[in-house]
Amino acid sequence: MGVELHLATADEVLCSGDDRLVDLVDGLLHHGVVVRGELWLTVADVDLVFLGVDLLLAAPHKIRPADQPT
Amino acid sequence: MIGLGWTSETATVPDGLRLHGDGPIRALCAPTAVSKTARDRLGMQVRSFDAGIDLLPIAPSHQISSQQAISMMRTADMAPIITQLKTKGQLTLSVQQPQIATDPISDGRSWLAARKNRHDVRANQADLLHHIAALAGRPVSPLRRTNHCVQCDILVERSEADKLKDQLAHHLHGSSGLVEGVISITGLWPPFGFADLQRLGASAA
Repeated sequence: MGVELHLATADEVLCSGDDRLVDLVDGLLHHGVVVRGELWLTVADVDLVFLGVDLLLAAPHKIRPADQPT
Repeated sequence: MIGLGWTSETATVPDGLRLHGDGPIRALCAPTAVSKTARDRLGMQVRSFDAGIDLLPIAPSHQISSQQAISMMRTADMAPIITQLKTKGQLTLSVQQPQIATDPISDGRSWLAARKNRHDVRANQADLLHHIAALAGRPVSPLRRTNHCVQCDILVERSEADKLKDQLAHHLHGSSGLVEGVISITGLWPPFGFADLQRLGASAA
């Protein structure tokens, strides 16, 4: 097997039903202004446990709606 | 209204979108009715970016109200990172390799063997992405994994994106036999992989 190469614009990806490109979009959705933490616990090259967490960083009193108690 | 990101654009935005705020940095927002899903929001971010807006994008999976986007804008100094990303976007690389067939999982040993196989496939994918990213010679995001592939982003000037795509494609065709797998090079996208809020948080503290 060699290289199978696909080139696509963002619009082409968004309009595509190709599983591979849908997977690519899913990978993008969680990136942008967030902090993503990932941790793999691996022993002897064997992935045993995955921990993932998304954080949105801002002062709590600023990001809560004004009418919500702090 | 739902926040899509922040921009130094103060005049024109695509139809249906609005700018909120009154300083040099403004929150770009979309009506809630048309931005309910993460894919909706991603589509509008791409449309804005294609219209030439310098967008510091909020992750599409996060639904943030326009009020919250404005609040965040006031707590963090976003100008430096928006300036830094102003003329840039990202190409997203994706590598998929076939799984190696293993025996059915019947005991602990076969379970460990299957996990080892998965680890090896992922390591190969990561090596291939690092190889391609090194060819690009530009800033690269950390790798991320989805169900079937490994991805990373390359930060590139908007004006150089097509040229870089062609260069990478040319090199990969020439490397046939040395590397293998299904490789996708897509974009140009807004710079999702380089919207570093840790820096924003630090500057806001």
